[in-house]
Amino acid sequence: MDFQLEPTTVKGEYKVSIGGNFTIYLLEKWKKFILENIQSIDTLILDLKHLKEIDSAGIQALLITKNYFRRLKKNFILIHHPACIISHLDLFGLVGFMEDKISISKKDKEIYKFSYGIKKLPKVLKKWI
Amino acid sequence: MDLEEIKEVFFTESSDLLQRIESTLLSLESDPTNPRERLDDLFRCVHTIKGSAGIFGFERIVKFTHHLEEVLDELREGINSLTSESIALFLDCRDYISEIIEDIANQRDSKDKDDLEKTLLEKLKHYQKKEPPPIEAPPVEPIALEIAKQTIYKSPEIIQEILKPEVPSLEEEPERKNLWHISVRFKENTFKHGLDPFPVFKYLQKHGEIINLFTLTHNLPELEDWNPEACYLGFELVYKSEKDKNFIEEAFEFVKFDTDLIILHPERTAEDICEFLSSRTERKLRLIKILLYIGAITPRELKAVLDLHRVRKDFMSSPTSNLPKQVPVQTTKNNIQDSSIEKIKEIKTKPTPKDSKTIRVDLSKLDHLINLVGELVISSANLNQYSISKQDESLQEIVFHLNQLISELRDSALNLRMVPIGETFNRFQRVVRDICNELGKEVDLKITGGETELDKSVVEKITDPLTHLVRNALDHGIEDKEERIKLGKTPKGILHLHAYHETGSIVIEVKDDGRGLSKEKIYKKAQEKNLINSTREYSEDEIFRFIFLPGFSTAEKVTNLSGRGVGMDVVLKNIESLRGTVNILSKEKEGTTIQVRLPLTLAIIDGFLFQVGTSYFVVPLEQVVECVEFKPEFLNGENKDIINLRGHPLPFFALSNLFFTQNIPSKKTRKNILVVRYMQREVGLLVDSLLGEFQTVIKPLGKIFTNLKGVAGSTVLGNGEVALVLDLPSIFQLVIQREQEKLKKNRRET
Repeated sequence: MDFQLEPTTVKGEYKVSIGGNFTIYLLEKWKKFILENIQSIDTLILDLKHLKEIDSAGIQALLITKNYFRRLKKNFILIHHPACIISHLDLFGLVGFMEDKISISKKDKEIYKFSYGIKKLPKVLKKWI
Repeated sequence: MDLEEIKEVFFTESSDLLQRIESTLLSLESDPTNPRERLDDLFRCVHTIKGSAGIFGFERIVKFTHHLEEVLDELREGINSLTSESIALFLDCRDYISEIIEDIANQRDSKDKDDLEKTLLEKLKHYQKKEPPPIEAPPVEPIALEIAKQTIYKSPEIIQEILKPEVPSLEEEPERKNLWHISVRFKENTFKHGLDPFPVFKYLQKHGEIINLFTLTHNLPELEDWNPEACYLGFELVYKSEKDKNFIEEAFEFVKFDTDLIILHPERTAEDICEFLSSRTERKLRLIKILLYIGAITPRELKAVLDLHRVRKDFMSSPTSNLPKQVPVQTTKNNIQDSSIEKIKEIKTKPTPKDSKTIRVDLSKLDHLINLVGELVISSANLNQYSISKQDESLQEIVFHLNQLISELRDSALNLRMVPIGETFNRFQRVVRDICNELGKEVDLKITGGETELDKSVVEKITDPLTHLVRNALDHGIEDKEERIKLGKTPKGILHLHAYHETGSIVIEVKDDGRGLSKEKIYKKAQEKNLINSTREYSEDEIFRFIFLPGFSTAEKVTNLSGRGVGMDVVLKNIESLRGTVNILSKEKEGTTIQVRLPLTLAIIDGFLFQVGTSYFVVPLEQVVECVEFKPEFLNGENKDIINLRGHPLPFFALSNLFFTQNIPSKKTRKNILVVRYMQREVGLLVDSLLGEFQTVIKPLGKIFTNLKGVAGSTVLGNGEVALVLDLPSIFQLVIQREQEKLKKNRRET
């Protein structure tokens, strides 16, 4: 799968849609894609609507990408989180780290508690960790 | 393999494991420093027995080992401490498990052990309860201040901040029951190996509650340096579950080679936390904050850790610590070198597990192989004789080569049955410990020559006689502490078990530095029992040998260990049944050495074949010193039992006189002397023809000849004749006895 950069109406804001799997086999390409396009991007929106599967290596790639954008003072935003990614972010307690809005159904609210990790951390401690 | 065979494997393995438990416990008793590794080993042994017993539904073992396992787990987690009392309790538990397994193996009911089980379980429970909770609980606020004032972190305000009441989870101490702390770092190759942390945590979630989980992101590289196939993740979890540590470890079973896993017990001590922190490479302050935040440690525990740390300032010494470093680089380097050298030494001295290079074979299969080799040896001897009679050189050459191969095959086959005696010796550690406790004596057991090998069947049969000799040495030989001090001896007695090879035999010595045998006492006792013939003199050895008579004891008081005079006769009988002998060396007030001489193997020997009259005989080749032609001038005029061999006197006797009541006419005029050695003595046997080396498979003579002295067995020759294998030790005794009788008769006549 190749990643396609689609410009939005906002200047410097681009969208990438990922379908199928975002697993260890794709990550080399992902890294290359980000490094090649970072110059022109201010905000990258990753649309996960059609994502079917992600593994921990994929989650780790998202964390590294997030850190990279933070360092460059750019935005990396995930939208349309599918169940596979929500379950990972929930269990690993990474919702707070990614700082994205996640919309879930009423039914899913019973499944996902988002009670782990940094989200619970008071601001005063957050800066030290 | 059917179920019965698998059960058999369970019994053998359990016996090995129980042996290991015993030696580990004894080593913990003698050296309690750095017990962790040995406690882990103990735990593993008990756990394996429990697991295997579970497979066969041996519920009684499963139930008991489960309790024992719990106690051991607490011990290795440092919740409880190891004392000599607890070691004694564990030894009792080990014995109990061993007895139950034995009952199962023999299809016996274990109801008679119900009480014992109950007592042991109560003791284990009591032991568990004994220790106080690890951390005292002073009020929270003063702790914050104290830590802020006294901590070495140089930034007390951070700790104050952490302990501020507005952080909800820190306001009150949470209920710590069943709360495990799991700290795991996944290694770089985790993803490459197709492994993933996610399903592991999902599994844990299914069997308990993950109270909190913190993904450590500080190890993540910059995107430019990122290797997309590598894993940089680490996790800190607080896990609530009623399951045991083993369950958690098993959850990580699939990823165990790709993780660095530390599990802290719900009731861990400050020392455990300290140890955990020192084993992690992250910045300690950051890690402590995370742990406090997720509730993996409580502020009270943190205080205890800091208190402990003030005593042992070691856990903060990670390279990224904020502490000022004043250690000169050179010293550090040397330290590192020293510690790595130590480490290498440690690895080198660690015995490699034996199991990795061995396979288990059913003993009956081995016996069958040895029987076949035995038959092969006989057939090859037949072929050899046939080839000689045919006088065909090329045939003889082939047979010679074949014989060499068969000889090597025989040695290798026999070697399969050879086991070092060390294992048997090591069992005496426990015997000595228990008896010493009972008698209130202090004795050091010294073991040497444990690597000496001998046939497995001999090893099995030697354990009982050896136990008896050891008990005797401890009870009668070695004196009390006070008596020893009075005599100017060391307060601790020494019992030395020693084994070595000597001309075709193995010699096992049980040596003590105790009071020694009293010649006078034994003589007096023998007189009382009408065993003494006043007309003759007795040598020291003869007097000592009285102790081998049934019912003979000089002990003033009878203990439950020894002193009834039952035993030494059984010892002698057992050893003689193995074609062995017992020799006593003793000096009063200095100690006693009992030497047990045993043949290396019971099955096949390299023999020397000769003829007396028309009968064939074989003696073990190792005992043959030389062969010389008998010449009348050897005889020393008056004395017909000693010849002059190159200027040295050599006692000799004619085998024909010993075995045949009448002189058998021999066609041959030339006679030969076969010089044999036994127990450093040389003796000549007058024989007719010498037939040379002969590989012999010793066949037992059968029950009807049980009392026949002087013959160890028989073998079949190539020409179908039967040759008798001589038992030199008993022949010597027989000759000595006859000579003594002759002397007595002569004296009476004169």
